[in-house]
Amino acid sequence: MATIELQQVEKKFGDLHAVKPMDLTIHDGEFVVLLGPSGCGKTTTLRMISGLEAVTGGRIILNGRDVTWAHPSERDIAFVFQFFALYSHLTVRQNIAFPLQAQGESKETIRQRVAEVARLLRIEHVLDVKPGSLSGGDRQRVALARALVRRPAAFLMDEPLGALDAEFRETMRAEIKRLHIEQHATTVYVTHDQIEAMAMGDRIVVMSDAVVQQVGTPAQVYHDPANLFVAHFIGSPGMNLIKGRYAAGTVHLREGVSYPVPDFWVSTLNEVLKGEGDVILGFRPEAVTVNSEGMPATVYATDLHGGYTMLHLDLGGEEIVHARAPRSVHYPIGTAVRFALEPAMVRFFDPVTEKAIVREVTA
Amino acid sequence: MFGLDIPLPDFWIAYFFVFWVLIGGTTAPVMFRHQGHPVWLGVLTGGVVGVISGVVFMVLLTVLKPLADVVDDPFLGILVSILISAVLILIALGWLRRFVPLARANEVVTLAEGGPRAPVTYSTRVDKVDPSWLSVQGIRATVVVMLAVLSLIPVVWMGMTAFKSRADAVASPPKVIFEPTMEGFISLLTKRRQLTDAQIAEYKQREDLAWYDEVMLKRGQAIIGQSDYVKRLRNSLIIASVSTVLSVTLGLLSAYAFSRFRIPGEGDLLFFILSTRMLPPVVVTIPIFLMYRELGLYDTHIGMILLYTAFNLSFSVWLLKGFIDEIPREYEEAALVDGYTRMQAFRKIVLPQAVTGIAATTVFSFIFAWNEYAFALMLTSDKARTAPPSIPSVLGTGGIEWAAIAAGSLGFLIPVVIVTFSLRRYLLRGVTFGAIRQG
Repeated sequence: MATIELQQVEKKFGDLHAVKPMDLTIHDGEFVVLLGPSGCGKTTTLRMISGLEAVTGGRIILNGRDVTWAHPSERDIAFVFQFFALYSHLTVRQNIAFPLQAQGESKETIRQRVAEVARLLRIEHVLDVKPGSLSGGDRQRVALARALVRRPAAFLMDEPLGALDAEFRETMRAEIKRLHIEQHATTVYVTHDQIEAMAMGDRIVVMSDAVVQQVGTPAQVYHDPANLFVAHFIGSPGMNLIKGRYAAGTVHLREGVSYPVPDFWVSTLNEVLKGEGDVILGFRPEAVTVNSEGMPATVYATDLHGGYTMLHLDLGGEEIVHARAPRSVHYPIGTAVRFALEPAMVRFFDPVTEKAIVREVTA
Repeated sequence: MFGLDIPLPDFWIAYFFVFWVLIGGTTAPVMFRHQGHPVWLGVLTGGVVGVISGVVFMVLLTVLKPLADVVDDPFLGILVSILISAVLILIALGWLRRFVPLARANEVVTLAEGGPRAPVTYSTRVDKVDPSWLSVQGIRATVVVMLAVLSLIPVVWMGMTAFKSRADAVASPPKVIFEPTMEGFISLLTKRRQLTDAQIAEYKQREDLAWYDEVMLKRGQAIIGQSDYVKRLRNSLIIASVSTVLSVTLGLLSAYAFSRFRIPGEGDLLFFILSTRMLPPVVVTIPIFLMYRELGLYDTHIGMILLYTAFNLSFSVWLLKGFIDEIPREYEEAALVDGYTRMQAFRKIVLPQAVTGIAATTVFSFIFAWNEYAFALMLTSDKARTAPPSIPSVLGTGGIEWAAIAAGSLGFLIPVVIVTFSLRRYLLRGVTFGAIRQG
């Protein structure tokens, strides 16, 4: 299939820097998700890879070939649009056959390939109707079929599930994932839905403000966010981020609330902060255990989420800590509790650079 | 008529009688069909109501005669009687409805299904349940038919005049019932010579006269050749169609560029294009006349085609840009990544999707070029003269040939009707556009 390489690729719309120079290598058969809030440049990046948008600078290498200035039709790439972009004046069959006709395939080949891909996506029964009468899920299947039928080097998908109902979205997510595994096709997938990104991506590229914030596996971006933005953006709710001051192995969070830093962090923090300094303590809700020791807080609210309970703990009247607890846990509002953190899941951030403080791993 | 002393010419009486029967006969079936009854019942009812209201109208006219005398304006009398009769007709329809087993409240009348309906006790759709909606439909249909009939009067009148003899055409009061003749058409299409009495006598002896010669002989004229009208009509057809094709094609390409690409100074350019429409065309006829004379474009087909194309272009660019803007960009982008060039994508995707807009623009451009009078009068004399300025020149000597003028206008009307009717499917913008959005 294909390897896609972006070298210092950037895009400007007049004065607006839509994508600041970025480097990214997408390996053969990889499922890479571009994730970020709307307007962060992820769709522009995808469109530059497809050739629908010309780059302002940098190079795009596809399978070792420089395609920076190649016409979209010369890139052997399929694009799936958010609103399907099915042609309403053609039947489903004609829609799927459309890219094959561009390649000048014989009628027989077209018929075969359309039948094949229709079977794969289970849309054989709608081949002769117009897209207007299809359900959202079926339309998306047709759009996928149109992309698949060409057997392109890579798939680019721009929020393909964004226009679907929640119910269909789950189903289609699984179908796209299954297709990816079966076809082993290089896929670049754009979404603003982090659950989708976590569920589908081999790697996630988190973008914000036209800049790539972090590239990593779902586990990496979740557990080891590179900066405050990623920490906050990934997860629902995001990481708890509490300002404090570090000194001598303890982070002072509030008057009378301090967190003793786990031993394996002390040397790193001492070094980075030169013994003392402001720091941001970060931890996921599931790192919190409510117990009889640890830091004091009062219960602000509790939400039952079915499988678990989300506790909102008021820390000194200024900050809310989200904590995940078993579903049987329930505290009346205002209860004074104490909580501890799982040492392995604690992270520290520099409040000035907003970057994560990386712990030196001593062998 | 009807032994009544009516202060109106025969024509009006006959006309309004027919008018009411028509309204009754067309609105009642509409209502009946909505209620799931056979159409023939509606036609019957409508006919009966029409006749009744026609009679009511006659009576009303008699009653209103003093009023018409007082204001010395028979038209006012007609106006009042139209309104009163309209109210009466609706009352009569409502009254007749009681004799027909109608859909009761809470019984659904679903237009799409047809046939008797199963009762439904609950619906969120007001139009399904509320029977007063049916009356609204009836009133609506009545108003539409009234307007249609009123706006068709001149056309019908023109059609009638075209078949009248010279005497009937100017008869006062106007004749509604007359002996149709082809005189108008023949004098439109021929050149004639006035004969002396001796010549007429001689002509009458001849056996080799065609039917049209005989028609004209009754007027004491002999046909000596073909008139220019057919040539003028052909000029009109050539100039209007070529300029329409040109302005729609050029307009489509330019509208596509404006819609899809970043063009420096796009807003200014579009405004500039529009500004060519801001002057009344008549203002520029003289400068254009001088230019055309210098350039040798005076009285040429090319000249007229260029002129009409230029005039229609601004209009077609703006109209088509609106239509193309509504086609999602993704459509072409999908085609581009699928391996098509931009031109192929334009042909295979944009053209079929923009067909509504193209049809609308074609109709409007054609109608403009077809109807244009002022430029054609100034810039053509013979070779490229179009039909509009030539119709008045049929006026002829020795009295106005109303029948010939009407015949000419009728022939002039036909191409526009054909173009508009053949494209009417695409003109239903709403219908097609819904489909595009869903796709």
